Amino acid sequence: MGAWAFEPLNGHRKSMPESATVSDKQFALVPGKGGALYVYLTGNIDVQSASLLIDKLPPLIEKHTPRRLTVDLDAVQHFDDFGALLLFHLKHLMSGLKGHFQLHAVPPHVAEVLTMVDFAGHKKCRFPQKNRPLNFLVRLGGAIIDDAANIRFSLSFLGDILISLVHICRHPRSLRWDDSIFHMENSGVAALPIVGLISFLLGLIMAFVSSLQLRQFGAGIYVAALVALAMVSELGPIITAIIFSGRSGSAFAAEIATMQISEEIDALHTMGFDPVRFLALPRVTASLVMVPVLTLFSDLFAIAGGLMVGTLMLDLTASAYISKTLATLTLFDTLWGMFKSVVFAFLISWVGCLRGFQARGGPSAVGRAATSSVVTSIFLIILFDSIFAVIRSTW
Amino acid sequence: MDSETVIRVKNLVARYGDKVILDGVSFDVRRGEILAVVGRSGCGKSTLLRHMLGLEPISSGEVLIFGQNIGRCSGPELQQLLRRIGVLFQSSALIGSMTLGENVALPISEHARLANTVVHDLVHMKLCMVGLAEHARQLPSQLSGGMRKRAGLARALALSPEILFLDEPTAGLDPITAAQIDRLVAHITHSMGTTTVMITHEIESVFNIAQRVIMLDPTVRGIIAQGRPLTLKKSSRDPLVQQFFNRQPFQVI
Ligand SMILES: Nc1ncnc2c1ncn2[C@@H]1O[C@H](COP(=O)(O)OP(=O)(O)OP(=O)(O)O)[C@@H](O)[C@H]1O
Ligand SMILES: [Mg+2]
Repeated sequence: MGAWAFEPLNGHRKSMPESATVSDKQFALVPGKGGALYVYLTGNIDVQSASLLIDKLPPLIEKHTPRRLTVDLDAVQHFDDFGALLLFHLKHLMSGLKGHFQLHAVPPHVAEVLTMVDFAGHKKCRFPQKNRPLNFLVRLGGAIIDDAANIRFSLSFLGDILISLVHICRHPRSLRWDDSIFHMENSGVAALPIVGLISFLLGLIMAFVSSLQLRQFGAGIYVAALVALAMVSELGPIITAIIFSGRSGSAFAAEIATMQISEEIDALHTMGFDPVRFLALPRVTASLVMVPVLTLFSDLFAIAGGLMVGTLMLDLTASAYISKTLATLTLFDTLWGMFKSVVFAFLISWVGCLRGFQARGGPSAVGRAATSSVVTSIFLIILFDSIFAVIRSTW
Repeated sequence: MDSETVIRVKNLVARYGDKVILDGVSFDVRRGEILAVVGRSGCGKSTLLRHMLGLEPISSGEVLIFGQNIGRCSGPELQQLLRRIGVLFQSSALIGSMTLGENVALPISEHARLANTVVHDLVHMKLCMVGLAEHARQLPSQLSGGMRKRAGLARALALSPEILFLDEPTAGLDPITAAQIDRLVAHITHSMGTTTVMITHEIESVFNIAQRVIMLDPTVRGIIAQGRPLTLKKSSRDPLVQQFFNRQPFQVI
């Protein structure tokens, strides 16, 4: 330690000096000659007490504007890195005041902690400031480059899936049937109750709302035609697809994204599997089979909902309602609806798997993948439905 | 339980469902010592740790930490107790959506009433201790496995705990960094009076820094040997212990 006057104490001291100007259970300040200030610390300077001292001490010291600060640690008992932080703060304070900072009577265990945290070499640290937002043009360019890469990946993934599908048509055995059946059950059979319930209510509402108008013209029977036609050619495929994308498309994305971020997909890759064939194909085939089936059920349930309104509110007989329904529907309408639902199934499973494979980073990537798979697939469903509507009207 | 015994495990039975992993394990950990827990992979070391922390229900026996029974603590008591304990999990268990700095700052800003700038300094100090100061702004997914391990250690040290539980702190580290981490653990234990329970596979670190070692084995579902590392190595007649310390392959005996 340096040579400086250290008047109030001589020899060993385990209690607070009496000439202290400010004292507390844990510290005392003693002004000395020529702008010197002595700080005596006692007791445990650790995680419990340090935060209080960090608040209290610096303002008290600043009041003295000392030219030399000496911290006496002789009576310190338990000392940990929170204590080191306190000393470090005082040291920094003194360098701010252009003064001199010293430690005195450092017990061995304190010295050990100080070496461990590199007290002598420690610089005041700030985390690097948050990156400044980039120039608008730079951000725009970055976004475009990202989007281009994204589109490229999406297209090549689409190609992968189509090629694999063709491959499977030629070699049906190469499909992982166990997985496909598992997914059919999980995302198809298990979805039946919710699809059924929602479609039934939808049919009910449609029939109810239209009956209010049609009844005025005595055309109540046309409720049957309206429900059947609207459901089979438009709403059935759409509502089923939307439920499927929320229920299963997001699950595909989350499962594959979890595997992606925990290197499971890389592991499959190195074991010689094609991850697309291994993970995506069973899901795509399961969707291609199950979504049309669900759509069919959705149509049936909606018609049942309409039937309920027809018999209870419009005094139609069940057989009249059903025969009107059958007379309205053509085979073409039904097949057209099925065709749309197959396309939707492909879109949903493609987007779900795609978002999963695109996931990078930590757990939040899984959430992002699930969200974006639902948003993207609903958008695509509506987009393709409008395209189909245009095709049909120009037919 | 005298004041020098910080942790006491008495006849602990640990099971998952019907599968008994540990059957009647008892040992004490004394204040300020480093206790190494060793044993073959899958013998239940991490399971022991999870039971000692009250993360799994204890089916029989008891775990006392600072004299308090972990299995019977009420919620707030347990919180209070766990605040005095730092844990490094085998998988590091960093929070993936937060940067390293935020991970380490998390317990500090939650439990120690400190100004933000002070928290930053402290986080910097902790990250310096494990040699990761430059990586404070990176996400865990941007780090190597060994770096995540060290970051987990920094987070375990965040509140300067009285007890440190470390599950394989040096797994996946190069010998130099591993030795540095060993030295850090020894320093912390020595200078701050921390008590450390360290699960490890590194025979080196057992000899270098542990005062005592307990060895678990799946055949007895419990402790087959305990004592000072060197004494065990020299005088234990148990072939399993000898095989372990001399790194021989397992043979049916
Ligand atoms: N959640 C769990 N459910 C059922 N069994 C489990 C569970 N976690 C672990 N086990 C079983 O408990 C046993 C001990 O596992 P534990 O993780 O404690 O081993 P360990 O000694 O830490 O091994 P390692 O050194 O490889 O980390 C293993 O046989 C494992 O199969
Ligand atoms: Mg383990």
